[in-house]
Amino acid sequence: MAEIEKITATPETLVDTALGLKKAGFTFLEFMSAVDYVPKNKVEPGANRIDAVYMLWNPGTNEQKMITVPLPRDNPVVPTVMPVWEGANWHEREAHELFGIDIKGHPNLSHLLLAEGWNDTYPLRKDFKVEEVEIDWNAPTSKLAEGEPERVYHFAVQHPGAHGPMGFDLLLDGNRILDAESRIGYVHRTLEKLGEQRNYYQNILNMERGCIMCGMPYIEVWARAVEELLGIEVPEKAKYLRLIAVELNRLSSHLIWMGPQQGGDFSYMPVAMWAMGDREKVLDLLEALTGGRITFAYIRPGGVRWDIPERFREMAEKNLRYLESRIPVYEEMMFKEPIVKERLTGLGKLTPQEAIDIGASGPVLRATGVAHDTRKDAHIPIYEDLGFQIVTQTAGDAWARGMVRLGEMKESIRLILDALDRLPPGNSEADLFNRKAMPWMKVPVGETYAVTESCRGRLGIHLISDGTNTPYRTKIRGPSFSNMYAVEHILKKGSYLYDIPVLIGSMDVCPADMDR
Amino acid sequence: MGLIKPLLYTLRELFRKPVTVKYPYEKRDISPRVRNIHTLNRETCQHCGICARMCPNNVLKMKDGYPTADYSRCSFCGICLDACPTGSIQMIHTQEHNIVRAHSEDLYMELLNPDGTVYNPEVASIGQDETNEGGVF
Amino acid sequence: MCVLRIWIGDKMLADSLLFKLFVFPGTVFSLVVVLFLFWWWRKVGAAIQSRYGPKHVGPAGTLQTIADVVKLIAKESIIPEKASRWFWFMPVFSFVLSFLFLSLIPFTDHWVILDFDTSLIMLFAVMAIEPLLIFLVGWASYNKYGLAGAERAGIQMLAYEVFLALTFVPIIMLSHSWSLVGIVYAQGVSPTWATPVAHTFVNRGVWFAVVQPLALLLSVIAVMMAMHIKPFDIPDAEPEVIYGASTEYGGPFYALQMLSHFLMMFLGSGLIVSMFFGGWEGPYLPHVAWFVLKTLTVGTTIMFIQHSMPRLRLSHMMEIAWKKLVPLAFLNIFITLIIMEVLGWV
Repeated sequence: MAEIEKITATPETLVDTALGLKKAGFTFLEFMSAVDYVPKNKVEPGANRIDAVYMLWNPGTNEQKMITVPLPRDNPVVPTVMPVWEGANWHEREAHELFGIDIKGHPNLSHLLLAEGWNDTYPLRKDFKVEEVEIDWNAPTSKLAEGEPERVYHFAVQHPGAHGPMGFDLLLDGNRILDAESRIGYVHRTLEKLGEQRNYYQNILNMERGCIMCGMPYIEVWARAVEELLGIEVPEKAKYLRLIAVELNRLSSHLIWMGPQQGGDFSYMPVAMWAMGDREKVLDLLEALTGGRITFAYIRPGGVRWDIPERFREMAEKNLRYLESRIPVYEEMMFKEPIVKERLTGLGKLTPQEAIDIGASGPVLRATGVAHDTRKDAHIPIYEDLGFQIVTQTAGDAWARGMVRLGEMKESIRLILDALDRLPPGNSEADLFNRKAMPWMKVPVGETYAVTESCRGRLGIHLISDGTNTPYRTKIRGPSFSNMYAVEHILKKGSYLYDIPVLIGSMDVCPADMDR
Repeated sequence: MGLIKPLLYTLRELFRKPVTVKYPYEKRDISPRVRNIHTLNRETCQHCGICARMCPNNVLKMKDGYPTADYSRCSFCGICLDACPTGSIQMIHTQEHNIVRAHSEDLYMELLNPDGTVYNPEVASIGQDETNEGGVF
Repeated sequence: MCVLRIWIGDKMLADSLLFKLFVFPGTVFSLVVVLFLFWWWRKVGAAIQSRYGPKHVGPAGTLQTIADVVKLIAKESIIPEKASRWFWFMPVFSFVLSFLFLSLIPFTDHWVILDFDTSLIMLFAVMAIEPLLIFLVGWASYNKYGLAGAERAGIQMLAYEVFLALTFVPIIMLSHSWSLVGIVYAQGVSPTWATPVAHTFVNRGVWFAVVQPLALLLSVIAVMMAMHIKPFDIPDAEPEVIYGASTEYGGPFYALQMLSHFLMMFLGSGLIVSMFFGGWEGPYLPHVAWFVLKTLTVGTTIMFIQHSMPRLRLSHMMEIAWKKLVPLAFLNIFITLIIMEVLGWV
């Protein structure tokens, strides 16, 4: 991607600049974060400030712009941009607790990812020392039902319906939800800070753990970010192989979504177990290609690590044709079944405006009718050559999201088989990766933002390099962070207890993706 | 009716063989690319130490010029394989392996020989199942 | 079957109430049935889900239930501090209640523990107490998940009670009898014993499943709603309330509740067999064996449906129960009246 256009603003002019940009079409706030420039840094020598960064995207013209607000280190304060983009809510909370930026006018600035009783030390600052952290374990965790902690219904972590270590604290009236407060941050593994301590090659390992079910797009976008800064090209065969690997991972992730996640919400055991059994076929393919079933470490900056093995084409043909024959079965069992259809239709309806405002992306956005897929927007190699079609629905509810994912599965199978047919010949090392990107490479000073379409939505990595072999700042824009905010947004409008697990499942929220 | 079709599918499934592999009574083939445990070719190793430096988790530590591994930290990514200039360090695909390290404070242990045998049986034992040939992969 | 011909004094052992109460069809038999049914439930579920189910404990996993029950009983039973002092009472009482249900079901007209000419009404009463017990279980455990599950059990109970009674009305109309043994006689099944209680009935000569298919379907749905079987297991819906009313009950209490759940499943199927499939009628084999076989068949069908369907949403279940099933039950009564007119049955 080309250079990102930067617009500088001051805390006073921030909201007006934001409003102006939104009117010009930049309606999608990708993330809000910060960069800490210490005096000894090599990116801008001598700078000593914290920059608040707002990354924007224009869905209409597909442009990216970045607003930077330079702030003094001892007292960084910015006004909230929630009146402009509602999705900034959680991003600002995260920037507040990880960088210490005070957000004026924010309705609820409590800790999101860190523990409630964390003292005033800010982990993502460069001068952070772990010894200075003290946690007050008796700090109150929930603001609901003050004074009556027993009334709060914890629909989080230990609850089997919460789809993992995330969830909500609820105030219930029978089955009706009066108020909801999100509890996330249980899987916060500080991937962004770890990214600054490993070099560009070792970061493959780091970035892949961004999401368990969907690690391949993470390393793909990381590799592309590094290649942009290095200014190198990837060999043709490697581009095809990357596409095959990413689409296989997408298939496996959507099968988990359909089976245990969405199927398990209804305790619909046949679909859950059959989907996991069919997923084994996809994992066999991934194991043959990369050596791993869940963690792959396959894509590296410069290309890929290995070529396809000997009988891969036959195996892929057999397994993927079998999977193709199973998709109508799942469609009959899940989406045309009256009970499931009744439960999914009308649930968590989002309008296109709401979805873009919140920052929801991926199948959530495409189910509302917005035909945007980062694979086309970011011109990721080979997709358009193979005639990639975007799958959309118009209803915007959980059923539409499910149908979009089913359509994406069919599209992925077609893409993989077409890519295998058109794979360029050649099996020397030069066809697999570009030798300029060695494991111990140093990347020149630069800044880039690379995006891709992970299984859950728009995944981006904002990478700032400082000329050494470790990055200066790796900000990961996880799609599930904004999608989970969409769940909170829907719950606050009034919902029912029996709808929550289905809602979280239909947004396909991955806790690892959300907390990083 | 939409309610009947799923019941017909489940009825059909009753008469099919389950997909479960009855491990450990039945085993399935694994791909030759699976990275399970290191081997070191001590003749071609040039003692440069790049593998230890490139490891993201500090698994390898150079001792007497050769890398030793602490398997409690390894994530089996294979970056050490990419980093090695001579290709002396490899990873083999074992069906199962168990690592026993008794009576030692130091968790770093010698790597296997390229043929899968243990380098120094007095210090550590690595038991492994036979690797499979051919089959699906 | 020599045990059946043991004489004590001038009465056969098999005629005595104590034998029926404790051996067959009482305690011992019900425990054996529950052990079998739990294993069978897991095997059917596993076969549908493309896996094996219990395999290793005993031949083909048949002793798995015993292993599980022993493990559960050996565990510590943890009672929350603020739970009501009736905490332990509820699971025990619900197990006892299912024995009361068991005594009313006629395995044959000889092998029945409580036989009187209004046993169907007693059955309804027993089935109606059970959801109240579940509600008390959830309330007594001082647990918000238990209470949420208990509320749902109460809502579901209100939804199915009316419709359950209405589905059985045509059967009573056809057989002119309020006792289960009388209903079986009314299907053309000849008595195997001179019962001490006189049953009034009208012999129609045909299994009611043939004449009343709609009632059969409705009563299967009603039994599933009453026993909290998927797709109606909303009160113990894992993704929403962790285990419903009995969230807090672990170890031995969990074992008791599991056993009583499967016993109720067996008895619900037994009820359907008595009312629609001619009870104990069948050639060659002893009559009791036919009853057990038919019950297991109906039970397997219910299990099959249970494992193949997703769970209904609470509001959806209420809508279906009140807007669709109750009118259908009334329609069924109307159709029965018409059929009786046409066939000249009085």
